[in-house]
Amino acid sequence: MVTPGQIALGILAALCFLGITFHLTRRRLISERISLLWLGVSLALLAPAVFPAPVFRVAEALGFKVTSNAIFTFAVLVLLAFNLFVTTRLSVLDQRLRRLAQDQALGTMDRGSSPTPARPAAEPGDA
Amino acid sequence: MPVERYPRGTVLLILPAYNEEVSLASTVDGCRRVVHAEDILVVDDGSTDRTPEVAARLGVRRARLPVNLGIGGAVQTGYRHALRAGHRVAVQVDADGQHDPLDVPALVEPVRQGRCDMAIGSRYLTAEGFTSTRLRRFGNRLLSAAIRVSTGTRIADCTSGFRAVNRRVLTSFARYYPADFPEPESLAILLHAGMSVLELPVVMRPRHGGASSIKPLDGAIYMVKVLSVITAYGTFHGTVAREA
Repeated sequence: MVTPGQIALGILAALCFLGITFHLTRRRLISERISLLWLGVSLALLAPAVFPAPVFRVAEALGFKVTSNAIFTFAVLVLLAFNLFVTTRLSVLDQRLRRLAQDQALGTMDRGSSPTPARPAAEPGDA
Repeated sequence: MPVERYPRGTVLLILPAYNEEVSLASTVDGCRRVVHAEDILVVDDGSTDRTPEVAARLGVRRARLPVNLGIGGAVQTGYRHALRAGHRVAVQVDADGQHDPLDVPALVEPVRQGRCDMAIGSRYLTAEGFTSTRLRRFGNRLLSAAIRVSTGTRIADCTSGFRAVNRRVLTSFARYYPADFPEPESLAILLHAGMSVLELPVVMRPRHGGASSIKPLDGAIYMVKVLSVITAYGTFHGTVAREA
């Protein structure tokens, strides 16, 4: 079973994580939207540290012989999901950066030796 | 043989250029024989050599990207301009001198006549001219097979960047155009969206100068990427059709 020392360590780690999340949010080093996610992760760490018994029951119900294996499995799945989320955000930013660079290039385009030939037409996404 | 130039504002030639100081001027000279100077757009993809200075002397349109976006981002810049400026047809012509601008009318005409949405200048319909390295030919065959399985259409030269497109394609490409090694993927997008593609034989030349942007390792990585994307398009056909 879990010793009081282990519980204290778990609570301390979760509180540290929570503190770092608050600090980064206050300094605006992570956006509020992302900080909500990390806040959830902090609480998800804190809950089993304070009440470890349900974790053992869940692990047993899922057929894990060693509880720590269940915790590692969940942790890996959560990290994978978070990685995927970050990747999608990066891809969106990449698209926006590309659009911005193109807009800047077209906005400062040198028109060559003669004036613009035709009337401007609407482009999808311009609205 | 004298070539008649297209009326102003109808056909845009897009020249994506990354470090093409050696070959850009001669390519633009060739392009001037088929369109007027203001219908030639050099998209400088953040070159670090004298490409901007060379382009400035040529009297054609110039758009300089503040950062290097890669060939897809550069070409899409041209497509977006063509769509906004009201051009009926846009043609990508590589600034490295591999594409002969005198072949442009052969690609433009079927598009103007409504016989296809995209016309591709193909190296592999005849055995003439420069046909790239053996490794790249093998890569092209592999991609061609993937496109055939995925879309049911056989395209012999699916990596050719010498392509003329109409406004329907411009609208699609202005919205989304792949970033790296875009030709095969963009072909799959069009074919899945029900657009028509016509291949025409052209003779390509070796590069006049500069270096290819595709290194062997990059080529292998892109090959895996493009094959997986084309397969994904085949799997999620409906989604792609709506996207395009």
